[in-house]
Amino acid sequence: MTGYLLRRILSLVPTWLGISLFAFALANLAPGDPAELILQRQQQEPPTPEQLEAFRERFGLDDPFVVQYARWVGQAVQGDLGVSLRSGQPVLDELVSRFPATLQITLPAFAVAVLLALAVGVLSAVRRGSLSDHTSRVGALLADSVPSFVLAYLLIIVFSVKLELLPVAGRGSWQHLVLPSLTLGLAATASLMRLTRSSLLDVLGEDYVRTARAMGLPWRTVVLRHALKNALIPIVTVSALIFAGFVTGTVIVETVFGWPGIGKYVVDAIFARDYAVIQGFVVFTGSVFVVLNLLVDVLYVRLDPRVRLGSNR
Amino acid sequence: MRPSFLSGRPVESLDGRKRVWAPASLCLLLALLLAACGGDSEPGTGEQGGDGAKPAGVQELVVAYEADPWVDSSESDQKRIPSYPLNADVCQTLVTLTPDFKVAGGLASDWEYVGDNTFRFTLKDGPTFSDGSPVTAEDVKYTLDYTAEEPTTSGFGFIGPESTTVIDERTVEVTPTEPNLRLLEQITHPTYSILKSGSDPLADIDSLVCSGPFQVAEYAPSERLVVERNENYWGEPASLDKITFRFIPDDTTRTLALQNGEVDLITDVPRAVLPSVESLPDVKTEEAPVGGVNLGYLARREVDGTERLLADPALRRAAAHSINQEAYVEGVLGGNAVVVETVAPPAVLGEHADLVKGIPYDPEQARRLLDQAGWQMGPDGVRVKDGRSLELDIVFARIDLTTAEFVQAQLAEVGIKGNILRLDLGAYRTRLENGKYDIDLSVPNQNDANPAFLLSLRWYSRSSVSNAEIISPGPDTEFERLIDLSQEATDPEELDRLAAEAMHELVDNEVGVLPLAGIYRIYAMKDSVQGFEAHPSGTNQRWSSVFRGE
Repeated sequence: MTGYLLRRILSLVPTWLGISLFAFALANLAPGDPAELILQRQQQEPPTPEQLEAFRERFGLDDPFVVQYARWVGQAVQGDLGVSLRSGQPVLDELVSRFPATLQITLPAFAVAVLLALAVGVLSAVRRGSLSDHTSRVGALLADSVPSFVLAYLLIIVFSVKLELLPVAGRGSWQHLVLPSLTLGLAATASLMRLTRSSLLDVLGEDYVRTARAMGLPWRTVVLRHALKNALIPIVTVSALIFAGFVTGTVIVETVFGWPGIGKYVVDAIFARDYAVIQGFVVFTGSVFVVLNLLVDVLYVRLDPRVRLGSNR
Repeated sequence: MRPSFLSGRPVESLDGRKRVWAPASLCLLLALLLAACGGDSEPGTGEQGGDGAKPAGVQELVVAYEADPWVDSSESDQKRIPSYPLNADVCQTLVTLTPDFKVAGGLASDWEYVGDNTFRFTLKDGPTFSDGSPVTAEDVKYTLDYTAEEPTTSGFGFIGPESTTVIDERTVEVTPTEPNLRLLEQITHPTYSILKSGSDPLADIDSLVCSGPFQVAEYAPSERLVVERNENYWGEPASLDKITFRFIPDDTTRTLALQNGEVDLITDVPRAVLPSVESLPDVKTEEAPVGGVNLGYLARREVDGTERLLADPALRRAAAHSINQEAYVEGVLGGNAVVVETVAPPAVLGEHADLVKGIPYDPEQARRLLDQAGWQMGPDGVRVKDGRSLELDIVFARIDLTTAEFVQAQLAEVGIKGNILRLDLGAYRTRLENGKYDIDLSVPNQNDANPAFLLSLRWYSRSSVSNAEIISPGPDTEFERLIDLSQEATDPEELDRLAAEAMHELVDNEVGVLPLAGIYRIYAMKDSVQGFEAHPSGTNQRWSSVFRGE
């Protein structure tokens, strides 16, 4: 197991370097002079040539691409993702200061998505063709069809404006968490529920399930202890992707609910050509994906020992 | 009958509001309709208003702003928390900007130009900071030196680290690093608010000490700024005990928060949602005077000197004649704007605003001008000359798409094809920098008392900005002569007149710009909010007169 883990961790290094090169190249090849853009934005007036020159010199923007990249990677491995061109603050500090806010809504959202999807998906699979199966599938289709901002407004109207149970927007108490988390979670539930259902249906058709039933094991035990465990592999993979998507893609929910997370901050940085923040974010989220991938691999081993055996051959 | 630029139907048959407020308003309308259905209960926790002007018991207000202005700000702007750009009445300037864009006393009681590019300011006897200590000339010097450390903000006022001299405890002299007789008008801008010596809000917001009617109680980036009444205020104390500025970027959510009672006042209500907001119970709206003008900047040449099509004055004039400003105001902006001929709010020119006549809507004259210039109508409705099609690139980044579509449709009527290029800020700025465009749609705001501010910044060939030559009439023109004179004027009346004459030259003779409409800020608030006076300059908005009525 240790060797397997080490190999997986080592294989992440070239992946991470690839991500960093991609992030750096993408931001630098995009049209627009960041010095011009950011000074204009800060001053609300066009900058003078002297101001442009001072800005480029300060941030090393007039160095060759390779020099800029090498300098950036060297600093990044030491935890220094550079300084935001707009605010002058360290990028890592800015990302880290916003990350807890994003986690605050993504963790409950993930819990909502997984628990609801598993519960409804399992129920739908074991009662295939029943009214509850049809209802949950139609519900999933509806949930998939509704854009998240529409869902957000609907939740606000029902729970904040009509019932006056929850605040419309902002961050503070636990009540502020409910609507953004529900919006994120419900939107992701549908696809995960369908996957749970189909994966479980496949497993329920296996010989060992029939054997287990023939041996007199209770149906609940067969489904929850034997079948579901084997159906979990694709669900774990998709769940990890959903979580990573939550962490990196909450901009709509953050905008609608005025939530000070990482998503809107980065979208603003993209529009402002704040290279340092864009690069830092891509590397940051790339790292999140890479780590989650590693965790999924470890979970695979726990769920299916054949994965580890296969890698040893 | 002229067809609509969106539907092709005759304009007169359309309700202007309907065709403009596309998806966003549809969404909000749906949201508000749903919210309004089947309930008469009073929403949320907001105080219910009346029209009485008696202060209610709890004097607290929650204001929703679109976004936290400091999060994306430079270090220099962050130094000004919370004086600029969200003016929370915490800090004060030496001189202030009145709603008619004139200079009035602030912390200074007297000011004069003493020659040699130097202004003298005498502080009022009495102003104190929130800690009770008096505002002194040393504090003024500390503040101006503090702001001068940042080249991004000192560039236009030309205030350097050596510019400010303390004469005595209540007197300072300011000598810009370059000739700048407009300093007085410029320092009405809240970016020049006076801090107590030693304040360094960039390093520590708690170190901020100012002299305004409120003081900072809490700042949570991207969430809220809370200010409380300054009990040591040297003037008329604020009516409100506390104001919480909350940052809610989404227009619909801000509006729902107002309806729900979670906030008492929302700023910058988008025109798209105004009819819906006005229909909310217990909510009123307030409009500020015109604070900016929707403009079409006309590029004459690229940065390398290559002439663009609009270098031809006949083409510029034809384009100006093709624009129906009234149709724009009524049809595109739903009547929530004003037809103006000037490039800045007319009030900034005082009684001389009438000098600027504007180019009247006259498509027939536009066609005649184009015919005379040799542009013949092609089979596809686009004029051609020497095999070249008459096409103009219309660029924009922050303005509504409908404005660009309107301009495009108007130009099409006289045979000019407009290519709409909606760009992200990066690509947009690059185009502007290189002069690779013909019409740039934008809305500059007037935030200080200098009537020639925009003229000297954007069209003056010797402007300090890097791309002025692209749209400038050029050196040795009457426009430049008038700008030069306005830069040297010491009499405010003379300054207004010269700025108006320069604007007349630019708009009426040079046709260097297309003024589309005068734009004002719109606020919506609970009926219980009283005493709010909307300032045309959002960065100069004041809150000390606001209170909650019973």
